[in-house]
Amino acid sequence: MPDYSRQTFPSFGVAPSIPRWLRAAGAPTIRPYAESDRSAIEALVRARFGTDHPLMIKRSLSLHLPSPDGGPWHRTLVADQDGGVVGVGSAIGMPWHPRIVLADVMVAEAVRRRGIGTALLAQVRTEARSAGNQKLFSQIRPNSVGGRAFAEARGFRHVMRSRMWRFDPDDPAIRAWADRAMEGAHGYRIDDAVESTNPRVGSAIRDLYDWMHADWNPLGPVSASEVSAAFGPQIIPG
Amino acid sequence: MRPFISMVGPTDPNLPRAAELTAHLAALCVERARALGQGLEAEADDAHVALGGVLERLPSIETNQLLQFIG
Repeated sequence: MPDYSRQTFPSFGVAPSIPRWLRAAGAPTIRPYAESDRSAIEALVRARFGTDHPLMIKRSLSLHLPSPDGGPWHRTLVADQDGGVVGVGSAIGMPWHPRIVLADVMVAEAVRRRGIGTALLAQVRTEARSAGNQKLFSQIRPNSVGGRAFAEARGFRHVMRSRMWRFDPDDPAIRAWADRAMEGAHGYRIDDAVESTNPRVGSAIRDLYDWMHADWNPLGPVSASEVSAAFGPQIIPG
Repeated sequence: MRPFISMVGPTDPNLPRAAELTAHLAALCVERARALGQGLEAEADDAHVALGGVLERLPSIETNQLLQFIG
C-alpha cells in the first residue's frame, strides 16, 4: 500500500484557486482509514442519506467501513483536516464482477467544491489500478445533480438504473393482488418444498443473475455452489 | 433482516408467460413477509424487466432509485 503519511491534498493536481483555501483552513491529508474514524464516517453517511430507503444507508456503511471479518479487497481513505474527517473515499472488490470495483466518495457539505472529492477519487482510482486495473463502479441518486455532474466530469458513464421499493404486505390492495397473482394461469408448477441448498436452486439464481448483468456488468466465473452460499439463506424456493 | 425481493423470475427472460410466473413468485414472497409480520423491501434493475414491471404496479410505502455509473 502507498505511504500516505506525508501525502497531502495539493499533490493531486487541484485547481490553482484551491491552495488559497487550503492555506486559510489547513490542507486536508488523505490517509488510510483508522478504526477511530468509524463514528465520523457513520455521521457522513447518515447526513447524506437522511431518511432515504434503509438499503441506501446499509450499503453505504458496508462500503465505507471495512468489515472486521475480512472479505474482498477493500480500501477506505479519509480526508483528515486538523484531526477531523471531512471526507471519505472507498473501493471494494466485487468478486462476481472481476472487471470493476464498487467505489464511492463523500465530502461533508460544509467543505464541498474545494477539490476534496476530486483528491479522494484520484487516490481511490490509484488504489483500484494497483489492485488489478479495474474500472470504478458507482451508484448515484437521480436527484443528486451535483453527484452526477461530478462523476460525468471525471469519466463515468451511466449504464443502468436500479429501483427500490418498500411495501406493506398487509395493504389490502397488495393482498388482493397477491391472491390474483397466485391464481395466474402461467402453466408452470411451483415447487415450494425445494431446499435452498439444492444445486438446481444455485444454478437457477446464477443464470438469472447472469442475464440481468450480461450487457453492462458481466459476471465472472461463479459456481452454483458459490451462489447458493451467498443467497441460500435468503432464497424462497419456488 | 427484513424480507427482500430481488432476483425473482424465470432464468430465461424469453420464457412464455414470464410476467405471470414472476408475479406468482413475487406474490409468494409477499405471503411469506406477511406470515412473518414484517414489511417487505424489493429491488429490480431495469435489466430485470419482468420483476420491475410487477413491482412498479404495487402500492408502495416508499420508492427510490440509484443510477449506476462505470468509469
